[in-house]
Amino acid sequence: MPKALLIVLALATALLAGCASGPAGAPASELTVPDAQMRVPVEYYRLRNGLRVVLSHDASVPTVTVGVYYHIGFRIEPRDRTGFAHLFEHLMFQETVNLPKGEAERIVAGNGGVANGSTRFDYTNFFQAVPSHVLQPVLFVEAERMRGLALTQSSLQNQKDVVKNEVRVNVLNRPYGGFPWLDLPQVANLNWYNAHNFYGELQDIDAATLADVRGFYDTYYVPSNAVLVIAGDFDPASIRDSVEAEFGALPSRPEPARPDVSEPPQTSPREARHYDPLVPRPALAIGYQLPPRNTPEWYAFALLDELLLEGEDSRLYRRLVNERKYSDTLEGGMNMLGSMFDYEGPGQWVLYLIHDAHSEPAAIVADVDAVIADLQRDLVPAAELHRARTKIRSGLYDLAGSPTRFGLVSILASFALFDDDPARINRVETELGKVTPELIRATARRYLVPHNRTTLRLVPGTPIAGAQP
Amino acid sequence: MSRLAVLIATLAAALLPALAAARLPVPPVGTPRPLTLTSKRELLLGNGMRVTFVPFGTVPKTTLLLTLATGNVADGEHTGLADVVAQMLKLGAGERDTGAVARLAAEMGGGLDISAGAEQTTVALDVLAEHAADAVMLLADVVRRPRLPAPDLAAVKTGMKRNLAIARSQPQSVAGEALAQLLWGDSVYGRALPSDAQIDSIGYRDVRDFVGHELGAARAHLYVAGQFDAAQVERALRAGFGDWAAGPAPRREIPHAASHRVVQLIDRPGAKQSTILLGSAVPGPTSDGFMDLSLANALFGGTPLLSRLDQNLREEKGYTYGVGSHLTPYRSVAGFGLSADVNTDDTAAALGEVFRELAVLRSTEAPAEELKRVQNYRAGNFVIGASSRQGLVAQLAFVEQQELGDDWLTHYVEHVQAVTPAGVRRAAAAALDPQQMVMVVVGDLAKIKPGILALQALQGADIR
Repeated sequence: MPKALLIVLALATALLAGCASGPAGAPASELTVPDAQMRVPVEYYRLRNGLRVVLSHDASVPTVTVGVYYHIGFRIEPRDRTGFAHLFEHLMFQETVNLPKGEAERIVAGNGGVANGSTRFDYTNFFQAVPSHVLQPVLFVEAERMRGLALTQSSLQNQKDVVKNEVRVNVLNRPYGGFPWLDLPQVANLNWYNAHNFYGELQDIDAATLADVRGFYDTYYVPSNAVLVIAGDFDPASIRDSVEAEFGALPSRPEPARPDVSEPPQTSPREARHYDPLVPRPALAIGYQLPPRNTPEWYAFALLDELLLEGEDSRLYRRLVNERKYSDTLEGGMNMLGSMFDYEGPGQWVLYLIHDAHSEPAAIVADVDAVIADLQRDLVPAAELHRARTKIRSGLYDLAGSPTRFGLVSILASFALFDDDPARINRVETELGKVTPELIRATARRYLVPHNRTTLRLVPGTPIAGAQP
Repeated sequence: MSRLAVLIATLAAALLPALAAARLPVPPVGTPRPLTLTSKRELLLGNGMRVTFVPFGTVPKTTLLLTLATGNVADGEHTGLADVVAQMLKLGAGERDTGAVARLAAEMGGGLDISAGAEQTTVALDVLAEHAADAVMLLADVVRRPRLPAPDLAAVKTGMKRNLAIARSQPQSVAGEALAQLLWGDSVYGRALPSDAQIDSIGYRDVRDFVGHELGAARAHLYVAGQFDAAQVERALRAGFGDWAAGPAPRREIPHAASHRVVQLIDRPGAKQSTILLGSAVPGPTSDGFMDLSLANALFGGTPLLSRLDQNLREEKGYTYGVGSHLTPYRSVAGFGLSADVNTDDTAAALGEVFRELAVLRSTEAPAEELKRVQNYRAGNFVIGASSRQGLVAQLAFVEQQELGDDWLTHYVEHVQAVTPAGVRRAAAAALDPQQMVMVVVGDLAKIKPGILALQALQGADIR
């Protein structure tokens, strides 16, 4: 084991000693285990008003990352208001009771920080990485958003215009823009919550009213439906007081009920074709329903993803790109808008590529099936499995080593919101380590089958009357 | 100890509070924490290859970046040749075929990333620290003993043509190609996208000759950053690269700008938005006053969330999702550019605001506190950039390629904070003259052309 890793581990362990919530079953003796694992300090508690707080101290560079994640993503939005969750995200950057429009940006960016927000399947987030001495004003900004958004008609109108332009630049005026992240869920899923246009129809965006906005804010943007993550360089002795000072007085509100977003088990293949006269080459996306999060099969899927799709050593890259030369890139994964850890589900494992007109989609699908059939027949060789685990380990280290720590914060926030257990991050490698070649084969046999699959073709041109759907 | 360390130490102190009054008082910013950064170590091999070690970070990973001072500048008549070579370099090296190279890189926890630019080809590999020395050996194989399998050339070219077709379906690429041509003419910087015919003209011998004649130790600089065993890595690089032939000196080409002011309108019937690009040649980073110009750009459109264009076109008018301006340096010259995708019906109004903001920037000194925010943003981003292996390496490689010297990095924050409102106005007045700019708009001309032609700021321009 490299010496540097020992230092990291020792540091993490020292920090964990005084924590309210450390990783269960992580005894000090693990330090001597040769195949060492990443350890992230995690301190977790809740304020009286229900706000979850995750602290992860790392003073190696004088920056700190603050993320507030609300447990409301674009899956859950009013049925006649597609795109509403995302529109609302934009409004969170407008004026608050105590901060005029633009002031939050002047505080964060004007003191050297980078900030953004995003709307995903199961959360909406607001995050910034700043020089560590700017932490307290940043906490104030996030508390302002949670306690006192001003919500004015002029801001709403302005952000409707901005959001419509966002949809235009990313989708309506961009060939391949919605492929497949926006298009595939609409044909792969049956439950409306998983199967509508997450970015929103322009007329739905236009239809949003101030009353809609206030209702959404009062329901979902409450302390009990949120987590505050502070990662990086902060003063461990005073941080809880700082959090209490900004967020402690927010009134307690009930945690919103969650609708049933479950997807019925798929029993037959789904296929769809979309046409676009502006795309110069056809494209193909294939999605399979994923097992529920945190099950052994779901962890096995993480390894299937590495074996099949991630990196140029993967089996599908070798077959589709190196051998068949259908394309020069192959993309996809367990979450098209993040990592396997920051969606709650239901989800799809997706692969997609843009190919030439002379390559038949049926032939590409047949090649995918043949590669999968190998994994369904033979146990994966030990060296290949080790390589897959190495790729995962390498990626996990980069979470902790990132200068903005946005990836790390996203995982801590997701594990707090979805599982009430952010320290899970330190058990992920152990869970992945339990996956056996037999479980990988069994998972491939159960899930990577045609009746669990959706195939979406993007075809240049316009539909011909009478053609297959 | 290099002076690189000093720059970070001084940085925090240079970040000054920029808070405005509010009803509920915003808590004050605290005291900046000083930071000491690692030193870097440089090595010059006998064959002229340069090596920079930067021990850094808390995680056991190592970033390797090998820069080669050649690229599309050596394409000759085969525009795109350097890109084809970059693809071919991935297809096996030494005793390993394509798959074996990919497997080896993955076993180290990484993947090879090879790409070509105008003057620089880069080979990057990010690995677990325990494999750093082996990764150096792999890089040596890739650039010194590539297999260049002839039968794969056709597929590489087909792939490039596919990607070019996709690029040409995007209005931003169409506009970018046109603007580059208008601004930089027939130089390497003016050839943004090769044509299919140019790709077709590339033969196997062109690829082999490029690799044989263009790559060599005198053009190579290897950056190693992160955690690694320096002695092991040094042994590996001497073994892997020590006997590499020096080859020719680095390729350098300073672009020369077209001086003719042209507005080119490209029709995209039915487009929901108009893609606007504006550009001009301005003094580069080795010129006096570049930092003033850089901050002028930051105020104007170069700072997300804070810039005037963002505040005006997005947050006030709602014309666009995003508008930005940027400076792309080529040593003594730089390209100034502005880009925005605006709602079709608001195209002329948006352009009017762009020219109005430009006039204000050139005629009126910015409020000191507005400039201070942008300076703080620059300084803070510099530190965040220097807080990762890849960011550090990118900064060092930038300084090297632009021939700026380490002083540029060590004094960066100081120089950013020293810029004054008067300096910004002067630099904008001198360098950002709309009469010297070329412009491209891709959009639904039936709807937008009359409004564009009527713009006061474009009277007298050569509109095509």
